[in-house]
Amino acid sequence: MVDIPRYKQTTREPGMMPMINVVLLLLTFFLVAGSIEKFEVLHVELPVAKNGKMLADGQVVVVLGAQREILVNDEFIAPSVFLTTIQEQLQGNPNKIITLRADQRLPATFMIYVMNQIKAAGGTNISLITTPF
Amino acid sequence: MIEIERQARKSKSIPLISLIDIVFQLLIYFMLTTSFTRSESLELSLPPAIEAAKAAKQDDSLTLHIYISNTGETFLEQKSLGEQEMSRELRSLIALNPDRGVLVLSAAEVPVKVLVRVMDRIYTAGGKNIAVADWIIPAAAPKPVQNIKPDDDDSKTTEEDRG
Repeated sequence: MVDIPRYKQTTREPGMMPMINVVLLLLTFFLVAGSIEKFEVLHVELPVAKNGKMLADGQVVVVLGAQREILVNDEFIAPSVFLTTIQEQLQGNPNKIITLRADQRLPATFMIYVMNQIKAAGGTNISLITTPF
Repeated sequence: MIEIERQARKSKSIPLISLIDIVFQLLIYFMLTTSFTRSESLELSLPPAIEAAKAAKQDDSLTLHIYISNTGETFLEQKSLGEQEMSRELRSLIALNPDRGVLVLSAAEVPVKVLVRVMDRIYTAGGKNIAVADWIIPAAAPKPVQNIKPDDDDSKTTEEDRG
């Protein structure tokens, strides 16, 4: 009778260490590559532009919704008090960068009106947020 | 002699399962909250009102006027131009004088999307001094009014929107 050598029984459990390695790698990737998204009070569809530059948000963030809603630093503001709010924000430093997130469906005239109000309040630097192609 | 009962030896290895649980929780949290969408910005600098008025008086003849009608049609001064022609014309005009100001006048129903696209085209053509204003169409036919001062337009906008 031919004696067939028995194979050593291999463990059936999946290797834990490679899995932990992979999971830790994924975790590190998400920690390093991504940025945690801030809660959006009002969703805006940003206009598309090629010539935008990567810039951090300014100290004052103005959001203009498609239905002409105005938010200053995530708080809803009535158009009548917008000027005074911006004046308060710019107190002490008129060179603060004002970040404007305007919805692409909003009439441009409304955005121009808001820009005029910012200008009237003494603001000089506006950055208009866009998305790249 | 008192016999002390020996405690069973505890295993010294780290409990892997709980570690994996925590790591998975963290992974799921970061996967859900992380965003990779990039947002960029077009820088606009608003000159103080007095300087703007002075600049308008001095360089009004030099300022290029681009009009955007409600239908999205673009006019350079009085010529209706398509996207390609506009870019070509702007590039050649701005190349002659890089500091030349460009005033974009948009009609009442033009969305921000179209205005930003036009501004983007000006930046691509090399324009630096871009101003935006409201275009109050004088008649049904698109006849751009020459020598509009930006500040005059601003006041009109403000009044209109307040009303």
